[in-house]
Amino acid sequence: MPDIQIPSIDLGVSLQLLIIFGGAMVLLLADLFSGEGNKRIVGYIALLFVVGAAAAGVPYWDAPRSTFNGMLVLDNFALTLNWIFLLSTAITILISLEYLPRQGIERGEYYALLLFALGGMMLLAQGTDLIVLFLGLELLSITLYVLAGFAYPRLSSEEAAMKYLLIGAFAAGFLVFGIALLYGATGTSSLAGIANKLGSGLAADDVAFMLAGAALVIIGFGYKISMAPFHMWTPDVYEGSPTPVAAFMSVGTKGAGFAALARLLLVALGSQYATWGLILAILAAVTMVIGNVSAVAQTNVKRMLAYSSIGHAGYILMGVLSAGSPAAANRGIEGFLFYLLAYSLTNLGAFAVLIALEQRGEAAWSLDDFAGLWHRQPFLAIAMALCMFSLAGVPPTAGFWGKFYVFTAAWEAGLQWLAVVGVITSAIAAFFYLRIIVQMFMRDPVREISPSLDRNLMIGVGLAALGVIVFGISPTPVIDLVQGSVLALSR
Amino acid sequence: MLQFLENIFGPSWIVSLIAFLISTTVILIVTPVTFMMMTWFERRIVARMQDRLGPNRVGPAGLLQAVADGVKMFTKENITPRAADKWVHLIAPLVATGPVIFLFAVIPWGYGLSPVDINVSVLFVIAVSSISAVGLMMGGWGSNNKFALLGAMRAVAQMVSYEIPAVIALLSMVLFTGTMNLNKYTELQGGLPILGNTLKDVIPDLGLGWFVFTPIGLVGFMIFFICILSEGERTPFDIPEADSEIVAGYMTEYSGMKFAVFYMGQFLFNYALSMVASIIFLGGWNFPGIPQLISIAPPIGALASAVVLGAKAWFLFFVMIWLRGAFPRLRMDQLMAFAWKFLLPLALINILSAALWLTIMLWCTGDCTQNPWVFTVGGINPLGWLGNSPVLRQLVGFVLTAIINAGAFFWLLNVNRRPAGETPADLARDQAFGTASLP
Amino acid sequence: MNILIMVIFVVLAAFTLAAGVMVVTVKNIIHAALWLIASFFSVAAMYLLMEAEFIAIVQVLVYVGAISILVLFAIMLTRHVTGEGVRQLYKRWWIALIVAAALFGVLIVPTVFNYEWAVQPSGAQISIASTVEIGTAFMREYLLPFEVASVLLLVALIGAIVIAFEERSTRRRVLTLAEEVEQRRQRNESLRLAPTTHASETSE
Repeated sequence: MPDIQIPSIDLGVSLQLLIIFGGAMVLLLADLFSGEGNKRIVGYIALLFVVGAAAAGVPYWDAPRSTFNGMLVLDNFALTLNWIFLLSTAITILISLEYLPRQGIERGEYYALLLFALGGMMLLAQGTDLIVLFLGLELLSITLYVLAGFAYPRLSSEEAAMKYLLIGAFAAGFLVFGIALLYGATGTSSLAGIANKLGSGLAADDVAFMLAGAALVIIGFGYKISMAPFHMWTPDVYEGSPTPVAAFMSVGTKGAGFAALARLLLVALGSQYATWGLILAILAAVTMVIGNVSAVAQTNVKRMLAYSSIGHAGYILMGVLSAGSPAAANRGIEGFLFYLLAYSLTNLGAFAVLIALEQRGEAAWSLDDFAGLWHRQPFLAIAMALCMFSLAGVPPTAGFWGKFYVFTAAWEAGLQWLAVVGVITSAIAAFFYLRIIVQMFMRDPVREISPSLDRNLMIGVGLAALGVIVFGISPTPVIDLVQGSVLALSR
Repeated sequence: MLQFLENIFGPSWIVSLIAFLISTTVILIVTPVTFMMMTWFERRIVARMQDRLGPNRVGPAGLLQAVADGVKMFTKENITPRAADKWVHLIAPLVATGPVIFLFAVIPWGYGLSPVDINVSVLFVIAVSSISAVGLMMGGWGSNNKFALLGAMRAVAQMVSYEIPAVIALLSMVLFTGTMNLNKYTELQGGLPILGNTLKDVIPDLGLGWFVFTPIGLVGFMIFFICILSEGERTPFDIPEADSEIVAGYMTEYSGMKFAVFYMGQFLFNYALSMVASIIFLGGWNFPGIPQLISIAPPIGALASAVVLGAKAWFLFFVMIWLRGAFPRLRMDQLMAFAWKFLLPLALINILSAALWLTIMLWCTGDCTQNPWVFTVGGINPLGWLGNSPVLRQLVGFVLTAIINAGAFFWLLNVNRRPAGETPADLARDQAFGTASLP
Repeated sequence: MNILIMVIFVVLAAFTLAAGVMVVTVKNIIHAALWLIASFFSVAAMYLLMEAEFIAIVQVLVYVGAISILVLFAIMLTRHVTGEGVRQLYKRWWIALIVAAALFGVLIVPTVFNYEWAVQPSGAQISIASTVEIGTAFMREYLLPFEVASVLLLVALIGAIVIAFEERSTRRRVLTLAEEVEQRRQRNESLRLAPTTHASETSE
């Protein structure tokens, strides 16, 4: 029997992950023993685990450490992202609790899968090795393929799952190939190792490998964050998926993809900023233009939100790539984190309102269905208005500060033109966001819809809207949080 | 020696080429003869069980019947259906049978008689035996016949399902012994039943420390043997070629020599896996006297070991025939339920028992400072009272795993007592609607 | 030994490439799958030639034994594509060819020119990827990916069950012949009465 030494592992670093994965397995058992038609209890247990995981992270603030041979870190950057993801998941669980039985697709595995997806996202935030990043991304993607098709007797849901699966598999192919080339060029899969190797200079024949690998990896992540030339799947998948899943996808995949991309670009390929900076800047501009301009033409609100999420991917990308420039290194990361938080809350809130309007068998997603919402459900109308203002970036909301942050970051990074494109596209975007507000407050109802607003959904919507307005009025705590988070991204 | 050979034959690659050719030739001669013996044996035994005589005209006791069959097969017309896919139809028997013959390359036939000694031969057996499923699929599809396709689908579904418990059963033995080399299994199974090699300083090697006498080995052997029956399509599991349902399954459109090749593949597969089971679970060529014989006169010992191992494999084959004479065929859903609901959980529990056994054997042996077994609970070694005596540890491991495995076996038996889909409520409903409960 | 190995290698490499070309050019999709299996298998043989036994066997186990069976099953269960000619090349295939060739060239040309080809194998015995080393690597350097992979597989398992599982209560009942005849009679009657109401019944 040969000696196999088990390396010393700091389980604290993976504590949140362990709670989430362990929780998911407990949920599977809880599902087994909970009665038919009463799966809400599983959802409540899931919430418990999410809260527990969030609390478990508190002692590790400002105590960056890594374990598993440097494959997993828990610095403030990762911790902040983990909290954002946990918050998004909690809201997603809240808004699905009543939605699933109403749609007749209530099954306990839903919550377990959500937690597994959350674990994948946290791995992407914490991973510092290409293999771990890939596994995290696959964990997230496979879960989402299933969740997108969760309402599978419905054809649109099947279509969404199928499209997402095909595109996702395609993207994973790019990613793996890129990782292989990067490994071939540098001989290591660790991000810090790659940075070291690049710092000490590559052999001439390895440079081509490194560049091709980096390009392929960026393409692979580009699919996940729906960056411009790779965004085609987004509207169809969001439209077909069950609405809470679409909400989760729009904030989850995007946030996690950006987290991994940020670490990859800034830590491993930081020295190559001159190469990827401009390319990504152009792609960010194209993303913003395509997303926002296409959204103008939509009359289906769910599709409109999908296109707008493409546009927001452009803004977030702006923050990430600005961080690559030494002039805006901190500002860019802060902008990215702040924007991600604001965007997550806002988008979840908007989708939650859609859920309230969605009846079984038919989907109230047309613009007309919002007409006169103020007269019927003032609470929903106000929440939706707040979210729309925040998405548009109107001052007293969190969205405004997010946009402000990323634009100044781009400006400081010397990408003034990009900031200008961002401002112009924001103005375009304001048109279709405000259109919904006009519909809600100034029109009369076109047809009779009885929104179903239960307690859990109300908590979800309220939490999101409250976050949007509170962080908009007094952003200082969040700013402190994100400013604390950039320090640890050691370079 | 190599230098000497080189002087005679020239460069070393020629030597190795010749060596490989010789062993290949031996395998290619021995396996078909084994197959012919097996067909005769099976027919005689089944006849005996059914109170008739069986083939007894050709040669002494009908021993040459297989030769006569071979001549018949060679001279029969070789039919290829017009609508069949000719190449796929032609190659399928080769793809199904070729891998089976590969298996014999890594299986040690006796002491020092392994054609190729690779380090991962257990894995090789698992991997290569899964290839022939492709051949069955090709045969079923290439015949362009719905019975053939159905048979192939059944065969492959069955093979894939039963491969999992089989692999896990083997894996528990790999964990138990720490090696994947078939050659090493035999030397680990010397000594006494239950106690194994632990008393080898006191009592001479009796060659009876077979793993089948340990709880883990017993459960593993049962699972593996049942899976062999299924993968080789032996009787309780011969659904893919159930002649009352789908003619002859994937072999429906085959005739003459191509049919014979398929048939040979099936029989040799049974034999090869019986041999693997004998090596891993039944002590290989261990038997009282054999270890001593090997150490005194290696050539005679090698011969005797081959005979012992062959006898064990033939005994397992006899059990297969016995089962064929005794049991009816299962239904498809019963077959699947048995694999997934009984064998698989039992195999998983078995692998856990193997890990427990290993822990008991290794935890804090020696001075308890050496890796990897240095864990203590609060500074106290929880297995310290066992000391360093392997006998004591082996006995404790035996008792604990016996309790666990027996408990698991009876629990699963109890859980599965009623076949899937046949709860009283279901049966009542089926009666009311006149529907079958088949999926 | 070298000449023999060289000859075997050239034969295997040629076969692998030929099989790969057949996969993408052959019209019958089952034949394409079978060629794919052939190329997987010869790749395994090449690993064996390099004395990487473990990887060769895993290649056979995973690709030949599992993945290709899955591919064959999937093709055969979607009946309408089986055996029919599938168009493999589209109108602008040459653009794809040029792009792929250019990318391959960009990657391979610098290597070809810069790599020290005349490397003599060092005398020391290097065992490539023995089981023990792979096991040790999984338990030490790559412990985290190893654990995460297990979670990933669990999720894939659960996902497959969620997608494919039908509750017994919702499963379609197998009808007896009498019931089918009765159903057909009723359908014909309703057709005769009101031709438009029939659409809802033909759902699967």
